[in-house]
Amino acid sequence: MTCPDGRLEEFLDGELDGSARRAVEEHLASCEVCRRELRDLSRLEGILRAVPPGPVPEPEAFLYRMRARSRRGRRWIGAAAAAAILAAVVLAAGGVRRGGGGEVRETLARYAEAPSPAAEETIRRAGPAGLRILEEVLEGPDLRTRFAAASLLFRLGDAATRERMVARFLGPVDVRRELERYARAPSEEGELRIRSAGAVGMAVLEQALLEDRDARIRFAAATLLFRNADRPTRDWVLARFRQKGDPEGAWTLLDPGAEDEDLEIVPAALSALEGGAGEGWAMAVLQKMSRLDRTARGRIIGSVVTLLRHRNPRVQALALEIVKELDLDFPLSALVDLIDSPDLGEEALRVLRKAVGRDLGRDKEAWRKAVAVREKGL
Amino acid sequence: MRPGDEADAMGDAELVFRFKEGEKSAFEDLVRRYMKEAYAFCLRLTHDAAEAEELSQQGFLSAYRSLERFRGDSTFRSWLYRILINLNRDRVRRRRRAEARLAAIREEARYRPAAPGEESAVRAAELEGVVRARIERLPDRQREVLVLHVYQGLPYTEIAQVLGCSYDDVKMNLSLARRRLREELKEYL
Repeated sequence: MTCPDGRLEEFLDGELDGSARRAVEEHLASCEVCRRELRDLSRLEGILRAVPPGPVPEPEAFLYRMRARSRRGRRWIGAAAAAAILAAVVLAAGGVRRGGGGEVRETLARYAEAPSPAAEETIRRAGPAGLRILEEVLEGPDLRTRFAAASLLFRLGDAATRERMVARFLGPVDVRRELERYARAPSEEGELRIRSAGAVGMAVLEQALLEDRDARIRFAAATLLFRNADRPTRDWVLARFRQKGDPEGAWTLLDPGAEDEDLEIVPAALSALEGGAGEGWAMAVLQKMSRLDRTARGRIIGSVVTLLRHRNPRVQALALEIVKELDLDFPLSALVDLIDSPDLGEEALRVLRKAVGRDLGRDKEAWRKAVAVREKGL
Repeated sequence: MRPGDEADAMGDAELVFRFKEGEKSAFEDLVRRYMKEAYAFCLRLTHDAAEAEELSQQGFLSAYRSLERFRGDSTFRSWLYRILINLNRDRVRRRRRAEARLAAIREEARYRPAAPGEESAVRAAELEGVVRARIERLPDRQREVLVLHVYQGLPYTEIAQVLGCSYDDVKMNLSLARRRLREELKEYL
């Protein structure tokens, strides 16, 4: 049997019966490639399935809230059933009496006047129903009580509650305004303010990068995401940069020199090169930047020297390509080190011969002297 | 079909029948049966507890309003999934349109500023956030198929029914999603 393209996943997913399943099993017994493929697929499956869904509410509490939000809902849940559900919710909350969590409210009022561990414990024991009351109080008129509720929610609530609190206090508009300000005039302070909004700030940046019509805003959002988010997000930002074939999502660089942020794309492109992804794209970006922007050229040269000393010969080869392709005024001394390289030695010598106008064979000392003279002359 | 599904489907049909006969409280039992599954599915799609609650409640309310017209061509469960998926697509469209509105608040871990030199190490605590983020960025159809299969445990034929596509479409989209995730998560595999 030849390798069953596409059938391995059906096999893994339990979609094959009888003879089809046996055929794949027999094939697996003799094919190392397919066994490895199946092992990789299973590993991925394991990682995916290990992600928990998050807490799920109790059905009765869910029904209760559903009924509360819908007149139509009231029609299907009779009065008796509704009363039973209410009782169940109240019981499940533990410690919250009938009448809208009076004890939690009273305890909170005391806590707002004089915080105490005992009061906090009483509210904690009230469970999710207690937290809901705290959230209700946030809308109330008394500032002191609202503050106490916020502080308790932050301590007692789960991650989702805390996120909601952060969002409530910072508000998306402020981050947005900071971003607009940053796009006009980048400042460290603006970046710090956006970063202080944590996940909310990053979500706003991500949305701006995806949806904003103004290229300047998108660029600022990309820059800030690239600098402040974790690696998967940075990879994703890079992927956005690469979508040049798609007119809707196309990324166009601002006129170089107009914005300092343009420089951010240089490390992005270099890291793409190093990662072995999007080489064509990265070279195009570097070419453009090198041609037009003095500071970017400086940045490229610095990075290329680092890349030339990389332990991976493929990265070294790419660095040499950059030197040739970009026609940089390159610190030639960095090339002298490559003369001994079995893969790149010849190429390095060719560049050196062209730059110095002489052939000094493989004598590194002689090359160093010649290069130093030339660089001094320049 | 998984064990017990057939009996469930018969139980569902009975509840739908009773509802259509005027016993409106039968719908409550349908909600009790599917609430956890529907909510967990919405949470997978939205990554946000408040949005998951909103979406699943909308789904049930919408099912309640249309149940009279439900002909039973598919199971109640497949039909409910279809409703949830359509509502989610509307939600995503709305969200994409609303320029300044806050996007779904995502995992803190995903956005933690990267500390220098930290990148190469695999951090188990981050993995969850990374996986969620990667799934979220899949094209809509691939994400729907993947979540329905991996997390909701639906077989290909039922997914095809939910999404109104062919078995081969399901297989292809699942395969594309996996290929992409394998590439994107390779440092964790």
